[in-house]
Amino acid sequence: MNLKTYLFDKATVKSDIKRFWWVPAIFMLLLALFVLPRAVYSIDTGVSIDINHMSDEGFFALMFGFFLPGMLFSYLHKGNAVSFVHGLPSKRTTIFISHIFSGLIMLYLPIIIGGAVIGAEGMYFEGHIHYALKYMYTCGVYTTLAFMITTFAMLISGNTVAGYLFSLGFIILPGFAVTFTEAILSTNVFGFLRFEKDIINFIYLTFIDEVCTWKSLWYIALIIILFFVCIWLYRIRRLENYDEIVAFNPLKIVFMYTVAICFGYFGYVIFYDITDINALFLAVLPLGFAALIAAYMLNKKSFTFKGVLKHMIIFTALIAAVKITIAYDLTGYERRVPDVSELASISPYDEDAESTYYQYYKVNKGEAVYANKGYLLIHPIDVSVKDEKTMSELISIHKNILERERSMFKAHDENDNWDSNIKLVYNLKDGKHITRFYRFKLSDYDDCIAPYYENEQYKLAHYPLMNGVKKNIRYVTYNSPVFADPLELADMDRDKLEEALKLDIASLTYDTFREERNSYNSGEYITINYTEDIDCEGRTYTYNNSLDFTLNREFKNTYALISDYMADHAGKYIDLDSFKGIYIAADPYYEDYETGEERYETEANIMNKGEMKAVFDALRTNSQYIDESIDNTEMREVYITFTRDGGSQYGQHKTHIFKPYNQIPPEIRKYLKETKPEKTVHAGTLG
Amino acid sequence: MTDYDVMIKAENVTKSFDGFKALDALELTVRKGSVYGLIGPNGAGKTTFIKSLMGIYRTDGGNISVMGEGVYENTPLKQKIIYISDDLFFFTTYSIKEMAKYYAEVYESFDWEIFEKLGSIFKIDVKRKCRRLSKGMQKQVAFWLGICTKPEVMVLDEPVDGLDPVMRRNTWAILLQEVAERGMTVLVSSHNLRELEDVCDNVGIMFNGRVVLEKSLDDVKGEIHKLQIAFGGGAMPDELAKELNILHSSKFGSVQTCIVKGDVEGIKHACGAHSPLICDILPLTLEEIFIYELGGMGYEFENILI
Repeated sequence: MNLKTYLFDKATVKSDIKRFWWVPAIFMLLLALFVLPRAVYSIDTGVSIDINHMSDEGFFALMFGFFLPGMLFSYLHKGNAVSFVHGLPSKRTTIFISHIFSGLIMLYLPIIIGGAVIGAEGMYFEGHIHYALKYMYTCGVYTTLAFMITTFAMLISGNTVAGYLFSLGFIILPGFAVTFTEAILSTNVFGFLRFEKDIINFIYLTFIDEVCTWKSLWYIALIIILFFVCIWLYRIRRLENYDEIVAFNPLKIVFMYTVAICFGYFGYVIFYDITDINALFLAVLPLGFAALIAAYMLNKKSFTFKGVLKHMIIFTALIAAVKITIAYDLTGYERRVPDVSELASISPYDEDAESTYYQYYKVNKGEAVYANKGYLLIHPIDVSVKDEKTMSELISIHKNILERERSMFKAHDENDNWDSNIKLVYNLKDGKHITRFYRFKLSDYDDCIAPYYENEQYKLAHYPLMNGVKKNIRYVTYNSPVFADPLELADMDRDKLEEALKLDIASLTYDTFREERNSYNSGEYITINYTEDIDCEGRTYTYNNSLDFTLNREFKNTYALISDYMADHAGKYIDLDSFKGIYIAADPYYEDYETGEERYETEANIMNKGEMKAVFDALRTNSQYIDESIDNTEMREVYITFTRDGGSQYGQHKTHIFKPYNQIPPEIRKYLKETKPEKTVHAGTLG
Repeated sequence: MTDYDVMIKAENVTKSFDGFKALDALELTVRKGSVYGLIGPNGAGKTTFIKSLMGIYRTDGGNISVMGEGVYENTPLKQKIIYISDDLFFFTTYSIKEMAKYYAEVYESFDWEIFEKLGSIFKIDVKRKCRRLSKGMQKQVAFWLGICTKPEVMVLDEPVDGLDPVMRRNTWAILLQEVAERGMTVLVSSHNLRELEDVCDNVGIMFNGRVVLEKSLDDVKGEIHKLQIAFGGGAMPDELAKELNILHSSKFGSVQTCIVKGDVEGIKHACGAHSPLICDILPLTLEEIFIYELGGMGYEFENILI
């Protein structure tokens, strides 16, 4: 056997190129119009290319890779064409490989030409072709994968339009499945954690600088697998099945139920979004049935209902099985709490605290920069609890949560008052992990949970400043509610400041965490921008980060340093004498429909200079104030505006604080009602 | 017939579509250098057989061979076979010349000299796009290109459908010349039985996925006759009716017309013994043979009045 003639048919390749030369021509034209100028410009000017724009190149490659197989293999979907092609003296394998070969030539040619232009520019200006190689690799992977997916779709379908729809379906199906599975499980399974890593980005290769990651190897592996599967399919395909939606009989049933399940759960999610009614069984059925019947009719190529009832019953039974499994926790997922004897450690995470203070590190080809979705995320600090006593306590809390919250969750009582998102990761001795996620109101668990917010490990995990790695502080700024702009603490002893902050963080109490959770804001905060070297996976990465610390009464050491510093920098405060008065507004606001103005339940205009000074001074030091004799800790938001002559908006200074009532200085508190008034309807509002 | 004489042989071939048996234990033999007419009612399975023969469809069972070899995935063998289907296909943008170049690349034996020669017969501008030609002209192009490949077997499905009378004659003349000069074998499926009658050496009648009759045309014609007979007493004597193998009978006045199987001499002898007033034995056309043969199998002509 001559392998060359067995695998390759010159006439087929030439004919494909002759007939579809315009595809690479358009591809090249689009590259020339939209991609090459920007790439060349970026090399010429040394401006780094916006990563989002780079996806354009991937888009064109993806698009043409997606469309071309539909043209190359459309003959399979027409009776006369398939008879002609397969009546010719060529083996099926030869025909298939020849089409693939010609298709890839047409797709690669524009990419190679584009890459050559970019490479030449790169060589001329920068002396390397690194970017050109990345460009060619990315587009090559994109286009080949899209090409093979559509080829696969064209082979399993007997209709070109259906083939394209299948291909689109295959491309979006992983994303669809992940999104909807997450949506369904998170609303129905108590303790279910949305997939920790952004799995959509994990599945889809989306940025050009990702191409050299191991992810692209999966893509290449998939391409190779699809290639051999397609050869096999082409060899066994019954050519008489042109014009069928699904050309392989065993796949017809798969198609029908897949379509029904996808549409059914899509219907469920939409219904839930619109009505807020969680009907996992009933809401799936209408769209599911409609899709099932439509797919059945497409399979039969007839508007017939005959025989569809059986499939509707099976579909209903499937959905019912899913519903029952979830509703009665037949898998035991919800009730599963490991025994301490199974555990190596437990890693508890407070997701809200994490989002406020914690930064992930991104590891990407030797650079550690800000975290972005889709990158490998690592925790630089092990926050695991390993001692048996603490682990037992955490397990007790977990059981307590299960007991108290699960029935509420199952009853679909949303309990919107939750203010905490806790993730528990059980690291089992056998190397496996059990992860659960719960939302609840923190105050319901004050007694048992407080120690975990006050212990050293929690603070270590949630404040990068505490991680023990030497920080190279680049700048520090301080902002006060009575500053016009943040003040850079240029000549402050940064080491001292860092030490003071560490001391304060170490002594932070559970109460302050709860206040933080309630959006505590004193208007006084410090921003520290620093770099640090992080060791990860055997390499050292330099990481740049900015941390904001909103000062509260427990940042005593830090505040003392700031106070000393500000004694010499008083000029940074706004000039109180230049203001005519202070307007204080608080509590619920309403819109007066007669005047169109926003009005507050509590309002005060202070014109007296002495009272203005008192308010000004109180704001300067408000982060440190607390009146222990007052029990009222209700969070109150106060808007303070320093006004100019004539009520002009120009030059006004606005600030606001959001604190417990007993932490609002008396000079401001006296303008508030002790109890937050209810939002009322004013005469004007009915207009 | 020796194996050497057999060009196409189908043995126990079966093929089903979604449970429907399109070919059911089909047996067929085509002699080398002959013109074989495959006839049958619509849906009998002729096109399915042809596509199976060409290796386009895979059969569910049985064996189809050309020159003793299986056709399916047999590239060297397919080089020697040309299939011209009823529903022709040409690449959308291709002209006749471009299609010829494509054929020349696909078929090793493509002969440009024949292409030029036939150009003067078909008289179609080779620069014209195939898809823009009329159906009849496309048929001519298909023949033109097919003949240029100098095939050993030509498989035709409704070959002259859409051709004008002059071009039909030309086309058949070219085909028969190839049969005569090169010993090309032709398998032709057509509903135009009148035309087949002129060109076929052998016929096979297909019905319900089987070949129900396969003989040389001369044998078929020698076996079935139209008998027009009249007796003084009016009706045909019962003894004669039992003696003759009558496929169909009708009476107009005193003349009875019967389709009778058997040799002429035997029929004459049987009839002569009953002293008929008139006794004419006439040959049947292929169309009549087709109708009366299938009539006996439940596929009958009805006198429909609406």
